[in-house]
Amino acid sequence: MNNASIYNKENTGVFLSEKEKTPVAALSKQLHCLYRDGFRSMVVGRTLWKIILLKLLIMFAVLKLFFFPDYLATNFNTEQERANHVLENLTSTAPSR
Amino acid sequence: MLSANTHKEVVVGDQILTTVDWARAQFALTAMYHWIFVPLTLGLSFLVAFFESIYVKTGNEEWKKLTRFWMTLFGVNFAIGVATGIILEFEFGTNWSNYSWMVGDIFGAPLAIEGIFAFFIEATFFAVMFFGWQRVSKGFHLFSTWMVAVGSNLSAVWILVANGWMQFPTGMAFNPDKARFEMQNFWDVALSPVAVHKFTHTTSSAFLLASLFVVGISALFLLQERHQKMAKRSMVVAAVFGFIASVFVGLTGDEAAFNVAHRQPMKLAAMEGLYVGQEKAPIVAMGIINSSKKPGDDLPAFYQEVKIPGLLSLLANRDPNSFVPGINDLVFGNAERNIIGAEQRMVTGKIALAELARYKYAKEKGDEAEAASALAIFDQHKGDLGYGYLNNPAEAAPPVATTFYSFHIMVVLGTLFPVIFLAVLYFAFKGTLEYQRWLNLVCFFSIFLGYVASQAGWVVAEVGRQPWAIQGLLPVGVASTNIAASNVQTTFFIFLTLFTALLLAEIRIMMKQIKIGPEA
Repeated sequence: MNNASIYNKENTGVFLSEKEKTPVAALSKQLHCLYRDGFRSMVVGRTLWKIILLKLLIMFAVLKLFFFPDYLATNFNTEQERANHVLENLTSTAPSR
Repeated sequence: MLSANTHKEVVVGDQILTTVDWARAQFALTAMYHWIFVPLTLGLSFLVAFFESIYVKTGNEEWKKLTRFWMTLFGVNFAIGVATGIILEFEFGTNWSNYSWMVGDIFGAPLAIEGIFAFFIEATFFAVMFFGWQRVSKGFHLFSTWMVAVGSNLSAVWILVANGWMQFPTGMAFNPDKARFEMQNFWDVALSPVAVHKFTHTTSSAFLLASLFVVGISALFLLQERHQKMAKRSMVVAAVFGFIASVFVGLTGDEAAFNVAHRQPMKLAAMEGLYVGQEKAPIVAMGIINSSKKPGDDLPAFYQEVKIPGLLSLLANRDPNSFVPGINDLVFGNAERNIIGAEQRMVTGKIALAELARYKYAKEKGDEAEAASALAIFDQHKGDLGYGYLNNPAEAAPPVATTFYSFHIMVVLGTLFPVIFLAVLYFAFKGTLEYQRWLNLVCFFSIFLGYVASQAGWVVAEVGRQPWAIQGLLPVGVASTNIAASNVQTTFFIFLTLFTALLLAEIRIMMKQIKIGPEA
């Protein structure tokens, strides 16, 4: 970081070079640093992120993929076929349970 | 012992459970687990915003420390609970495909928009809230915290509107060509009285539960003689918020019951175990339900009960002398009171179903005249479409004992909580809160009671509307998908394991953070 770098007005510790002084560039840099430093400084958050990622992996890569296909989307090709199937279910005799 | 039986059934012990039984059990399991995390997120987000507002107003660093402590617990709960609701969407597509298809036009787009909106609010303001303490101004940080609170609560709007619509379908028309309910009036759906009360009652109960959580954890600190100043400050703010929320829960609950009386009278009758309708109908303050009782028989409804005369009539009609229909009136009808029973509605419903079938076959044959004729008759009878699927009018009644006990547990606990909040405030202003060991113990155990009341509320809402997925129009048995029961059974136990692991993780991480306290 050279001498032309500046602190932003909130004294956030984010250094901006000359070309980063334009509002959009400065904001982008600050946002990048907010997330980067935030993730780096997490303590309990690290454990939580591991749980979140593991949970999402199980949910989408295992459960959704192998156990929860969208029944109508998987078994029928068109909207009309799906509608016909549901209408068939509605009009064929069915128990209430 | 579990064993796979036929395609649509699984034998559990001497019980035969069908696909729809397992689908219902799975939905109940996942929804109840989901509802462990959600109310704390909804309520704690506002409490954190209150704490931070006091910090910004006073500039007192102790309030900042306090805010960050509760924010950490909020973060733990949010992280563990986030996306647990998506599993319900998986279930809709797999286990409840008929229902999903039929309501897709009404709720598909709003729920998707809400999800995207919630994601952007959360991705933006959560980051500022947790990472931005040293990077943005106090004012912007506070704004972000409030946006998280508002955004979290707004993201509950459409799912509760959808639930309200299922209890009171309005603002739509059934399109027999697409087998879909199509929205006719957005505002009728969004602002239906059932939807409005569903949202206000649910969110205010979440505020109440989160207040109990803050009061309870703070009481634990007082019992342990740790962080007493922080604990007392937290308790006062949470007790004020909790008391206001309790009053609001009571008022919205009263309005919700009034709506139930007029839109779902069977549910109200089940909530009170009222089989024979009467004027000056009493509320059962306490009672032991006779679970052998069936609609139309001569068995007593209760083994023991304590009644308050006229109160149910007052609740249902704002008139203590008015008539409230019982389960028998609603099942078999009551000509004297001009009540059409399920028995008669079944006749109408079967005509609607027959005409819908005739319409379908006429369209397939290309016979437009026949189709038009069938549709005209269907339109006259479609209001009772769902009753056409019933085999017996008594099937229109929900499980009475479950509905009754859940309702009474909810009401009794809901009455206890404001008393606890008032006691906390009384001793806080006397300056002796830390010496009230009994009260602090009660406060701590009230966290658990808060969850019991909250879950009981959902049991009343969902069990009490059985057998309907959509009130009067679609029973759960027709809403479900024609798949093997063993498939749903397998995923039921996968979810049980997954959610239990998540809950244990939440409790473990929370306990660790609570043990560390605000110094973390």
